[in-house]
Amino acid sequence: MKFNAILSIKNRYAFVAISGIIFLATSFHIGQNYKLFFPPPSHIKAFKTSTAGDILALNLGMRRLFADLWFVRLMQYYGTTEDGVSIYKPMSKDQAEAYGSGRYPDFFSMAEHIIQLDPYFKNAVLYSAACLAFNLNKPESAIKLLNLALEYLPKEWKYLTMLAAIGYSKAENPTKVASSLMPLIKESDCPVMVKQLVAFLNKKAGNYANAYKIYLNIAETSKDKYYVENAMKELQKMRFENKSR
Amino acid sequence: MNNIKVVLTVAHHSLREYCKNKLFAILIIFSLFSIYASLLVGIMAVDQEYRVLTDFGLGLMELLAFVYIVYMSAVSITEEFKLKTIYLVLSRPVSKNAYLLGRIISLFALAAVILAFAGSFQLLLLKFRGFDYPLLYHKIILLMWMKLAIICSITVFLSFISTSVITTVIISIMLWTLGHFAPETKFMIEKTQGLSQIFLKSSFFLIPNFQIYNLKDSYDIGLSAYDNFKAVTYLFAWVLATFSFSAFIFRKKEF
Repeated sequence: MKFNAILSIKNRYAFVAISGIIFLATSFHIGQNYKLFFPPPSHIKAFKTSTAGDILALNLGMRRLFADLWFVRLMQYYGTTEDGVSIYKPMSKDQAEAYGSGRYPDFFSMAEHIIQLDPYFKNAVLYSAACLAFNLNKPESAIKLLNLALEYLPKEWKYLTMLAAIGYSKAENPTKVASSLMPLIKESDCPVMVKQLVAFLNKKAGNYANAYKIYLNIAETSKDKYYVENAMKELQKMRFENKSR
Repeated sequence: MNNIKVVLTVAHHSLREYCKNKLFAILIIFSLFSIYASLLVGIMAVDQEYRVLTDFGLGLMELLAFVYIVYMSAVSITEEFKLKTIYLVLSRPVSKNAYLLGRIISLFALAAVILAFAGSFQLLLLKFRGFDYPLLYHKIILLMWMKLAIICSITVFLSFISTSVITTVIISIMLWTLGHFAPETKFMIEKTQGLSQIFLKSSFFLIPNFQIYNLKDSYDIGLSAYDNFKAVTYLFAWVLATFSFSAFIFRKKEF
């Protein structure tokens, strides 16, 4: 039997030499044909104290997991008003109205860091770009972020759609922004923040039926308490307005 | 006795020994607890709970399996030498090669047992949260197992040439981290010249490239990035090389 012959092989030098050759040839072949999928370390800008975590992410092959962690941090950062009030806690009417806007000076750097770790994290890209462009009034930063993500997924239609919407928003055409973002919200991985934005723009443009459908979708599918409560409020308001008309 | 029977007997007994170890029970409890704790991070991610829960579970699973496998690979044969229990085995009609192969197979099986346990628990947790079976989950786990099989063979080989368990474990951890650094090494090769390029190139070919098995980091960018044939061939080449080198040293070893 061949297997037994290998186990009791007499010429161990030949066995070592053959396996060494097979190993070298395979290693060489795999190494030569290996493609790079992720941004190289020189493209990763450390954000505040992220260096140790970034090294771990690269060394343990856990870029995705660390990008997730940074996304949670980004949502916590943006989920707290600049006065330090969490959106999940009761806030005054002024605070509630002001939420979403503001300066959030670290937002872009945090979002960029996520993309440098995992450029294929579509939800984070769309969420960050939409926040920057429509809430924080920083469309240039949003475009920069989308272009960075497009380097790795150049044919991603969701990014191109977002770019087009930003273009319309610059031209101050909310109806066009809403209609250009409509295909995005039909996707299961569309960030709830984008859905809310499209619903709001539709309402503003007088497309109540569309706005109602989107708010209903948010209320039914989102796990984010803040957006669900807001959608419920809007639905109630729209039902009331519809009755009184 | 038939060599295959001997190999399987050694593998079976070794696997039972590893699974009876107190550390194994602690590891299983700890890994189940950690995967369960990832629920908390998942909830914090709100609408991205599914992604975060899956990624955390996979990451923790791999890390904990790696720790136990490396430790077991480093101590399993060395301990037998120290305690002289290896005499009991080798005084019977058991060849050194069969013994070594049996040990390595049992370590591979141990990696599979840990991944199966932790993987099933994670799937249950996902089901409990109302999520579907993750995309390519079985393939991610299989590639994870291949990665663990390579590091396990390397650690066994290192345990023959190094002077202590700690050294073996440290070198294995270094190789594990360097193995994940392969894309960065390739990038650096393109940027350097002369002697440093030669050094980097040779290290690139001689250090295991774990990124080809790291599907958990990029499972949503498509299968084209990962070639099944390449993954299996690379595993075979590493296991064969480390086994033959280990066997070569083992044969020369005097008790």
